[in-house]
Amino acid sequence: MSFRASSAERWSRLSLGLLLLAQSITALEYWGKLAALTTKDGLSLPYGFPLAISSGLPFPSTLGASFLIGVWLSAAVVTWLSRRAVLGLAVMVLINGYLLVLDQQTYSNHLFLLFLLGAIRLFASAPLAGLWEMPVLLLKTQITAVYLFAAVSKLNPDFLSGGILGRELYASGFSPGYWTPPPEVLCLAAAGVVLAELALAGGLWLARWRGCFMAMGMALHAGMVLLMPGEERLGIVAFALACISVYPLFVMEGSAQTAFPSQDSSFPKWGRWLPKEPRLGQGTSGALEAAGQ
Amino acid sequence: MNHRKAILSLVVALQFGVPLYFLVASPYLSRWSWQMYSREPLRDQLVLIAPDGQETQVNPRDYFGYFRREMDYADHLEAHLRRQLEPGWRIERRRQTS
Repeated sequence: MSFRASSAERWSRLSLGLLLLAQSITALEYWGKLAALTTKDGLSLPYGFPLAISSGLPFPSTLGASFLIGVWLSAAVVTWLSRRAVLGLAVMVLINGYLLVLDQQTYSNHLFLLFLLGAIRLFASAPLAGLWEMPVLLLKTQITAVYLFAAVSKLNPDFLSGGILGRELYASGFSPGYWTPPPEVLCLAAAGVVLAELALAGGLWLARWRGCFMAMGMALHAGMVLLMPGEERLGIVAFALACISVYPLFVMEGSAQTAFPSQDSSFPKWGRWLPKEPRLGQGTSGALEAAGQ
Repeated sequence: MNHRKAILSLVVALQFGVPLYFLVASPYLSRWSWQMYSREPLRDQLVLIAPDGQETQVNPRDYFGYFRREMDYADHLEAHLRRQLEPGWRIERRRQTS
C-alpha cells in the first residue's frame, strides 16, 4: 500500500518548519547580539524581583556564545530532520529560556514567543496519553493572546496619534528622503494596525473567513518587516514566522492527533522525502479518517 | 478528563493573565506581555551636573552593549555612575513626562 501524507500532517509539518525557521533566524540574530554584549565593555543589567535569581547565571564568553549558537542551530536542523524531535526541541527551549532570563539586554518578545511555542510543543511530546489535542489548542490560544494584547496595549495616545509609527518609519529609512506621511495618515494607519490585530485575535477562529484573516495577518507582518528599522528587522522576521507558524494549526481543525507527527511511531525516523510504508497506528488512522481518506 | 480541563484552564489563564497583569500594573513598556512598539518608554532620565553647573543628559546606549526600550536601567546605571563620579560632580534623576 502506498502512503500519502495526510492533509493534516502536511499542515503540521509546515507549522513546524516555519517555527524552526524562526528559531534559526533568531539564533543568527542572537549571534550578533551576544557578540556585541561579550566584546563591548558594557554593563550587565540583571532583572529585579522576582527574576533577580537569574543574575547568578553565567554570561557566556565570546567563544561560549558561538558554541551556544552552534548548538541552537544544530538543534533546529536535528528537529527538522528527525521524526522524534524531542531532544532538539528541548535544547532550543532551554537555550531560549536561558537567554530570556540571563539579562534584560538578551530579552526579546520574539524569543519569548519562540520559547512558549517550543515549550507547548515539547509538552505535546511528553508521554501523556489522551492529551493530544491540548497543545494544538494551547498554541492557538497563545497566538490569540499575542494579537489581543498587541492590540489592547496600543490603545493609548502615544500610539493612536501615529507618533510611534512615524518615528519607526523615519528610523527605518523606508520612505524616500526620510519623508514621513502627514499626521492624519499616520493616525489612520495606527488605528488600522490596532483593528487588524484585534481582528486577527478573533478571526483566525472563524472557519468561514479564516483564509481572509490569514492573508491579512501575513500582510500585516510583511508590512512590519518592511517598515520597521533595519537593525530590528531580523527579529521582526522571526516574530512574523513564529506567529504565522501557528496559522496551519487553525486550518487542520478536527485532526489534532497528527499535529505533532513526531509522536507517531509508525513513521520512519529519517527520509521524509522517500515513499513511506506506514504501519497504521492509532494516531495515523485518526488522521486519515479526519482527512477523509 | 478533569485533569485535562484543569491543565488547559491553568495554561490559558496564564497566557491571558500574565499580559493582563503587566498591562494594568505597569505604566511603562513591559516585557512578557506583547506590548511591542505600543508606547513611548518613559523612564527616569539621568543627568550629570558638572561643578560649574553644566548639565549633560546620560545616554544609556553608551553604557550597554545592546539597548532595548523595555529595559529598566535607571537604578543600575545611576549606581554605576555614582561609583565613578569625581568630586564636585552630581547626578540627578528626572522624571520624563512626555
